[in-house]
Amino acid sequence: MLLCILAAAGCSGHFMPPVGGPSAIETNDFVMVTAGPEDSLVSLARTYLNDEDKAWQIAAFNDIETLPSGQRVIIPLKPLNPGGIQHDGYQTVPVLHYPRLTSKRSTSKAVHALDFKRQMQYLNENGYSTISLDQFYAFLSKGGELPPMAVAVTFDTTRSWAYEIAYPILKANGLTAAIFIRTEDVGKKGRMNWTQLAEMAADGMDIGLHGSHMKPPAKEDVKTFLEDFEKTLSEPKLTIKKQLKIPYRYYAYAGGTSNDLAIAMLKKHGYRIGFSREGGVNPFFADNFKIKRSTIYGDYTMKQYHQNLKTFQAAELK
Amino acid sequence: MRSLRPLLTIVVLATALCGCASTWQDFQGLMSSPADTYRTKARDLQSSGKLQQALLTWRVVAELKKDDAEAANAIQTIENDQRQAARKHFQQGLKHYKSGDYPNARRSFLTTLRHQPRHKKAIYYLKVRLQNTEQPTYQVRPGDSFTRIASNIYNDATKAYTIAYFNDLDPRRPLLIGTTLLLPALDSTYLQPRTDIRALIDKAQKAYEKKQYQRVYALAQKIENEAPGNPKARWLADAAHFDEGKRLLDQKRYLAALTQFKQISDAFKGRDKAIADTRAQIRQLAVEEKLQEAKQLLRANKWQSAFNVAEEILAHDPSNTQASILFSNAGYNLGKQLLDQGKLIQAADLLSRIDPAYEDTGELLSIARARMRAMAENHYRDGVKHFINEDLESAIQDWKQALSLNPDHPKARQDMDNAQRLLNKLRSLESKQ
Repeated sequence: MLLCILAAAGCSGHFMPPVGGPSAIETNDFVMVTAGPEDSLVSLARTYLNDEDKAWQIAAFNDIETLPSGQRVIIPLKPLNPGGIQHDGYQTVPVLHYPRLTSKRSTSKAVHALDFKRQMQYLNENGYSTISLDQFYAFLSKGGELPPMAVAVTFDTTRSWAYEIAYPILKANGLTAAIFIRTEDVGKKGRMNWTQLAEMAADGMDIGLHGSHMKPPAKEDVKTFLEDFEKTLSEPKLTIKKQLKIPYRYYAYAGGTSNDLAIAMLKKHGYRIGFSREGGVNPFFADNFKIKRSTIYGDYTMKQYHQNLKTFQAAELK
Repeated sequence: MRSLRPLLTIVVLATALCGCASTWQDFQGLMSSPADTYRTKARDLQSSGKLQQALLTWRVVAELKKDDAEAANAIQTIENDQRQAARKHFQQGLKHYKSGDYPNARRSFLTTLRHQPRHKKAIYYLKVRLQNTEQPTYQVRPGDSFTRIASNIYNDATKAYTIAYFNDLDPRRPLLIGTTLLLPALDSTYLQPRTDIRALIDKAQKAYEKKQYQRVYALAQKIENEAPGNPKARWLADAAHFDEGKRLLDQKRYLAALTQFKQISDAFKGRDKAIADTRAQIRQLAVEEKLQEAKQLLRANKWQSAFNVAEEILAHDPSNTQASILFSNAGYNLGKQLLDQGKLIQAADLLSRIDPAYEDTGELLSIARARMRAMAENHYRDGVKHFINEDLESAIQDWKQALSLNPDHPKARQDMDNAQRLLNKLRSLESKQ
């Protein structure tokens, strides 16, 4: 009997609490299960947390990377560390903004496809996790937890390069991104079409709205301006709901800057996050409608790129 | 075979313990109950400050071993400690916030959340109040509504719903007295989208690459207005001024080029040299213009004027060969003219400044000086005659003229001095009488 236990433990490569106790316990705070042959961290996250993206939480709490059959694990049912607060600091989320990608060499600020590929590989190979905007929203607003090295990748464009250059590279590296489009441009020459956007959305890419520049209002004509502005928020929602069958909740400000009125209108129309282009990273307590983004330009070195990936802010929180 | 069994057992045990990845701690774990395993983990988490994880792990222990006193005690202790710590840090946070010490307020509220992750007020201060410390606020009073507040604050009741949405509130629901509302900036000037500086810089860069310098200046000025002191914008404007200055230099529009260079920042590489070179070019241009003027004057036989212009050029540029030639030419002709007019002193003075090898300058100078010496002698003799006639004053005047024509005259100075002394003595005697 002892030899059997030893053999089982010795070959797993992980610490495994002894079998023989209760095989499944469920309380308000946690579930304890022993993994079957079909189980994985992802399947447990899907079953018990209703969210495959939370598999990392099970792995982190149990200090494991994979789930061998017979492994007993605790599944926390509530976030243990909302906002990523530690005694020595708190989590920050870098949101990268790529103004343009290109497959041609140019002197402009566009990021070359090869550089973008290198940057995405860097994220993939160095423990970074790209997050969806829903995950980001949960982190900002609902005490959600994110993987420790969470990062978001965004594009403010309807141009075809997002589909032709960015999407295949992201997909090949198992990463996701958010694309902020102008619905009125979809299908035009050099722009993405609805089929392409639907394909990307089905693959986990977020589709949001990129605000349109509006002529500043004359003092006496603010009312018309507001009506027009509200139309730019409400009409694309209907279009995208019809075309992509997905809700439309995220907004990138035209020119990258916000104002209080735009924020009030976005809230009115049910938007959850407004993305600016002010540089910096975002802790959980960042204003949802003033989210900072680091713009990545074509002339950045990997060192400069890495400087935009700060995922933790040191602070003494004892 | 029976005797080999203990040895075989030892070998298998040793293999299991040492040959695989398991450690002695794992072995201990295997020998302990699940509750004990999680107990060890809970203690480790608690001691390393991971309190929420420790709390959950103690709950696992308590669930696995219902009557476990240590787990029950640990849960109660952590929960009590967390509550107390959260309360203390939140109060500290409020104190810091009210005193305007926002960094420490933020730190205290974050510490509050570390102890009590769902502390609503700490979250509110972190997400709302500390994010909007510059935003004016309004505390709801009895009888207030969104419409009334909008009317009072903005003089516009239609802005009621904007206040509500800005504060994540439903405009149709009544306001709670004491609620702190953030007042959005809704003046029409705030509705103008702020310019994206980076986009403007990109535009300025492109304009610079296309040599659209006026557009670069306009964009740089716009950036300066929005973000004073932006180094990239300043560099682009400097580079545009520099390039435009060089283009103007190529067109020999030196003053315009200098104007461009002078608008470049002091630190811009090449600015000082460009200004110095342009100034040199401007001086050279001025010299050439003067040379042309001197040549024209010379052609018109205006010797004096031509001589003056050539002299002016040489004063700034002594090595200017053309000016030297013009100087000699004009001076020679002028000297000759003066000589013909009998203005010997002026002629000699002029000719002495000219290269003696130029034309027959040396000869003319000799003639002038010989005539001056002869005239000096004549004046000397006239002076002697006046002296003999006891006309001392006239004698002195003649000898003075003799000396002006020939300062080295052997007798004129001595005779003049003697005559002057006599004259002084006579005047002295006359005054005594």
